[in-house]
Amino acid sequence: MLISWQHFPYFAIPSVLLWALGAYYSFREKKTLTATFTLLGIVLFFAFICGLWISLERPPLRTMGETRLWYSFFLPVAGIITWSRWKYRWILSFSTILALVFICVNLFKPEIHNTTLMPALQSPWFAPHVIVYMFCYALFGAALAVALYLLFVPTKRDDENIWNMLDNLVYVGLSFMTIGMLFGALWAKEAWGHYWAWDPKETWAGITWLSFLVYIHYRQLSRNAFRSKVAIFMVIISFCCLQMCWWGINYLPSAQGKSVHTYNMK
Amino acid sequence: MWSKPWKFAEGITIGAGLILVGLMLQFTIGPIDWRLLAYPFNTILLAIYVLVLGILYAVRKHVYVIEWTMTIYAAVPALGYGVLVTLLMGLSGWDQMLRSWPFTLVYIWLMNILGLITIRRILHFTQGGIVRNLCFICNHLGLFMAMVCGTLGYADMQKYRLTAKVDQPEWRAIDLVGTLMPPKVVELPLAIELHDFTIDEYPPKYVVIDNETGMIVADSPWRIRQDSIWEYAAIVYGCKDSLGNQDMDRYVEWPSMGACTAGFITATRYASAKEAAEGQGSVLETKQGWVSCGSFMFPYKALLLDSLYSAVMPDREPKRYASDVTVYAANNQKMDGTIEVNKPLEIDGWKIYQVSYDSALGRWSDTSVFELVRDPWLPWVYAGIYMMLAGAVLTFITAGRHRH
Ligand code: HEM
Repeated sequence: MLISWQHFPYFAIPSVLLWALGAYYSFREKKTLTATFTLLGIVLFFAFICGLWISLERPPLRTMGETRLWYSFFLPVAGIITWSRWKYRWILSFSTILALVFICVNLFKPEIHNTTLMPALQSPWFAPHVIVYMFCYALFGAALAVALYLLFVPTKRDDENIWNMLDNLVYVGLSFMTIGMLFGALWAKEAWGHYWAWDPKETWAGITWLSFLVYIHYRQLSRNAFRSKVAIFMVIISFCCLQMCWWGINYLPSAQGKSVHTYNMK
Repeated sequence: MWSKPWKFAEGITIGAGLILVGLMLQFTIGPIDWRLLAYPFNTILLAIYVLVLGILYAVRKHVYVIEWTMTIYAAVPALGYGVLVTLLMGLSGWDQMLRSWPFTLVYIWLMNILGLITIRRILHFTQGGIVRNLCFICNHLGLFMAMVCGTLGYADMQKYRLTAKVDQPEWRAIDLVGTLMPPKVVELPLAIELHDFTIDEYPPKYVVIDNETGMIVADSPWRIRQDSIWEYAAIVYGCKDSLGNQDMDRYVEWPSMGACTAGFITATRYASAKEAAEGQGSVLETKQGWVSCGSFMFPYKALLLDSLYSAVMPDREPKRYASDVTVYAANNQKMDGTIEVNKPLEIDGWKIYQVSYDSALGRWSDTSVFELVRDPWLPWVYAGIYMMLAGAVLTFITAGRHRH
């Protein structure tokens, strides 16, 4: 039997429940149970992605609905990696809630899911490029949550640990973004003849990248309360740029119909 | 301000000064023509630039600006201005920005900082281990190389668009980076002979549309099944149907230029869209007939289902474009090959990309459009890109270790 979007709820709902259990046990500091439930949820969710991949006969990376699928997958993945490395108790609750949001969008607003892949996208670079980007989005999402937490709970701004957490998330997120962007450049060279064409999407990726670099370099300085607040806003602004890059440019008048990433005579 | 040690304020002022000077240059000299830097000027410029950076580094102890330039206090405002000018371009969509002085001066400032700190780090590794220093060098030197070589190399990049017709060797092409208006036609040192151009398409699809709006309806009570299909078909108007009394159009096989795809379908109506989607429930009504996406010779054809809905076949989506070619290059070099999207052909320092075809004729196109690119600085840019990739991996590995 072929897996299709019709079967999505049967995979997504149990996965979310498993992730929620994992998040619950991470608060209770039960390490084995946390890891087991979260990983089970991830495996189940990935099974759906693989099934869809097989029945579509192409990686499900094309429509917005499909990228949301990867986003909901990588949130818990990023969550469990962060958790296993630094043992933040809240991170799994956060990743579960965000994943749930994206799953709900896919459940309640399914799009017409296209099954074809235009020639320019048929490249070995395609899957790694998009997957790495999705992973970086998930990490920056977590960084935003930490930044907002620091913004609204000023008493925590002296807590060295939280700042380290924020730094780590941005560092790892940025290294993934760099990889995604450079894969994109190498691919663009093969597909369109140039590695960087300042196309609106590329321009906004560049802005986002530079913007997170501002944060990273700023954080090299000694830390005090005033600086910390500036740093928080740097993360928030960078995250807004990231949203522009991801979907905002679709609504930006100056970017309409300009993308080189289309394929036709006109 | 301007009392040692310099902090952010000085950086913010310097950036504002650069923008101001940039605007003045913009209004007096006008936009920058990067093409003027063609070989050998770019090579000479690069040598001078690296030399100047080296000298600046050597005299850093005597010139305070240089010492300050190598600090975070200079880097953060410079990066901030980098975000700002790029943001302006991103918001306005004004890509002339790339030729503007303020944009260029800010980026040169960034490159100066990058160059100087890289020299320092290569000459003096800091504490924190070899991995950390390597990571720093990969990130900063990689970006420096990719940006500087990419920018200077742009002047030497050649990019042409060549339109080839089947069986007619072609060597004339339009220059895509030189003069834009009017397009300049040049004779290339290589020729392309197109033997065959093919388009593979995905299997045809059938969708239900709204009669009024023509929009695809995702949840109609109709379910469509394909009974038979002609990949290469011609329409025959006004035939008799199976009962022998009614005028109807049908399709016959026709394996020749301009043929279209036509499918004979059965559409069944169910009580609800849900039943139709699952194909379960009692069938209320059926309709049969031909639908076609048409071609440049034949019209498309829809099947009217009821007063609300029709069934149509959208244009078939291309899966693969390929050109069978022979390329003739200098020194009697000759190469047979297939050029596809994502699979350029490489010969004599040129890369040849499949970019387009005659879309009016669709899969019957007898022309193919190529882009020919030659970029002698590419290896240096790639070296920078690969260094940055290594840097990103090292950043990932070292993240979370204690920083001072
Ligand atoms: C690939 C992107 C970049 C990354 C990942 C990055 C990362 C870093 C890191 C982690 C440090 C701290 C030094 C260390 O502990 O190793 C640093 C220092 C520094 N970066 Fe960057 N950076 C990047 C691009 C830039 C750019 C574009 C500039 C130019 C303005 C710059 C200027 C500096 C300066 C001035 C320092 C301090 C000098 C030093 O420590 O030697 N960086 N960078």
